[in-house]
Amino acid sequence: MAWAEAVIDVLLAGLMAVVGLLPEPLAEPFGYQFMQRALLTAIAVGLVCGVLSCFVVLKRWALLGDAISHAVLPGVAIAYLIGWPFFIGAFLAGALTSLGIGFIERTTRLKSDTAIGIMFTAAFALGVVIISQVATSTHLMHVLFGNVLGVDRSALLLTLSAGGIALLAVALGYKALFAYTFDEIHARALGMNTAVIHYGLILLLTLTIVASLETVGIILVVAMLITPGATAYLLTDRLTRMIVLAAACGVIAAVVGLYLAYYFDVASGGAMVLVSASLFLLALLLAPRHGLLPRWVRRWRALAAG
Amino acid sequence: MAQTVDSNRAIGAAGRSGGAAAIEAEGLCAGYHGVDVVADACLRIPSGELVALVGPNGAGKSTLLKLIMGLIRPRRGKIRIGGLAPTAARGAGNVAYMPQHETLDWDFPASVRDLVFSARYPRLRRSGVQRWLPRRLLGREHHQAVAEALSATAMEELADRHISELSGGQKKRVLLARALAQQAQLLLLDEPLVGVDRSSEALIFEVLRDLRAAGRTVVLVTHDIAGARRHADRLVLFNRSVIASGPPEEVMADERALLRAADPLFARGLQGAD
Repeated sequence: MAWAEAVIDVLLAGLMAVVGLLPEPLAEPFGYQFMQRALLTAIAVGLVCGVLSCFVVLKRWALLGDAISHAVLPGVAIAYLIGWPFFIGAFLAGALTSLGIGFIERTTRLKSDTAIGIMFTAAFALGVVIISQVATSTHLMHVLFGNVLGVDRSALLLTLSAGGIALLAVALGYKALFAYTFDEIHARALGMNTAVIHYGLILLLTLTIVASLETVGIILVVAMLITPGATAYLLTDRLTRMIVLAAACGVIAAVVGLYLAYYFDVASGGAMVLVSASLFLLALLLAPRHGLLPRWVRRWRALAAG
Repeated sequence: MAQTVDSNRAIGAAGRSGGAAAIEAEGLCAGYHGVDVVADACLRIPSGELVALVGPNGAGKSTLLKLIMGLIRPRRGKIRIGGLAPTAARGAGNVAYMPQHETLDWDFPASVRDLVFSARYPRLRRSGVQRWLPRRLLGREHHQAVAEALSATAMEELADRHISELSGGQKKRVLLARALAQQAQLLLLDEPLVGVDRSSEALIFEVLRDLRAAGRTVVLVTHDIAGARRHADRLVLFNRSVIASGPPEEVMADERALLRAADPLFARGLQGAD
């Protein structure tokens, strides 16, 4: 893994070169190694969550995203117990939960929100029970709420590789994702295997959730998987621009949240999500076409003119 | 009027009698939860025809379309699309589908051109690495096919509009353009004429006639028997199974068939179900 270490060093060095251009008060926290790692992790998480959040918003998967993020907990716990990599346990748990949701939906008269509610709380409860047996409550708090200031090199490597895979998959599969997200039946008529796309997207979500585990934690990661996409959706009418804007919103939220966590000594995950929600509020009020204020102004002008 | 349509039909039918039929189904049964929505349907559509599929609500027309696309598997019976299994025909990009526009989310962040371009996917997949590339880097034939589809449906000037800014008829036209851009042998159109103004309707039929002239097969599901009679080569009356299939005048002359097609209860009684 020498090359992976080298990649991290190069990325950190590049990042520090940029930070060096900032004024002193902004650059000061990054004299510490742990803050350098935190910054790189935060940027990666913000970027990947932002990109994926577009598909979560457009597929109306907000609740499903919430479910998968919670369902990951028992997978992480069991993987820890039997000494498997986190990611495998997390993905199996996420995939099993989404299969279970689909099964309940198809075979009973219950609707998907109820199926999701049952499955994810059950999985989450299983995770809490296992973790309470094997680890301290501090461990549990870490997994639930994350702590970006405590990210070590191996966690950073995991975040970067999971994030890199997710970004590459979205870039290469963009056309299929576009068709699948807009019109699933048509995507099938075009000869796409929508089951592969569906579970591929769930795999990407799980990857992203695992990548964000240390940074924002299981409970708040879903906010990073919804809010940036929702913000971008109010700002543009094209999918490519929406993805770029959502990624930008995610990165801004993660970096500003990191500063807040450092200077005010508050939970990093919570700070990031609050910044993200503030960006959404700004877009809600000010977005040129879909924002509230411009709409009121247009209506008022129309009244005044007519 | 009737004469010119007749002569068109003669030209359309001639010279294309050889080769596999566009659609060939025998004893087709399919449904959900053990209830057959399509029961013992037999159908043969030669290629190069403009076919109107007519039947009451709940007659299983959408299920038949799904069978043709290979989205569901028949419980019994056989179906071939241009000589291939439906899933193989679909996988090869030979079947284009135009859904009803009410089922789609028109707030989706896409322009008219984005939507039409998505139909190039089956062709891109066959041209190797292009399927992974951004649109700017794609070969000229793809841009040209999209441009032609937009111009055939008179959507060129609206190509860079967001899809939510379109009227009902324009939404139908952009979905038709998307089906055209796929350059498929068989086109399935689900209610392309509902909620469409006169000028859009005329334009849609013009496009369909051009497709037929190019040797493509078009199947449109419609409630508009009058329109079907005027424009189609073949009228298929469908109510759980194929009740009649043939030139519109012949089918319309068969009162018993019309009655069966019009009344779902009567049709069920005849088949002894329920």
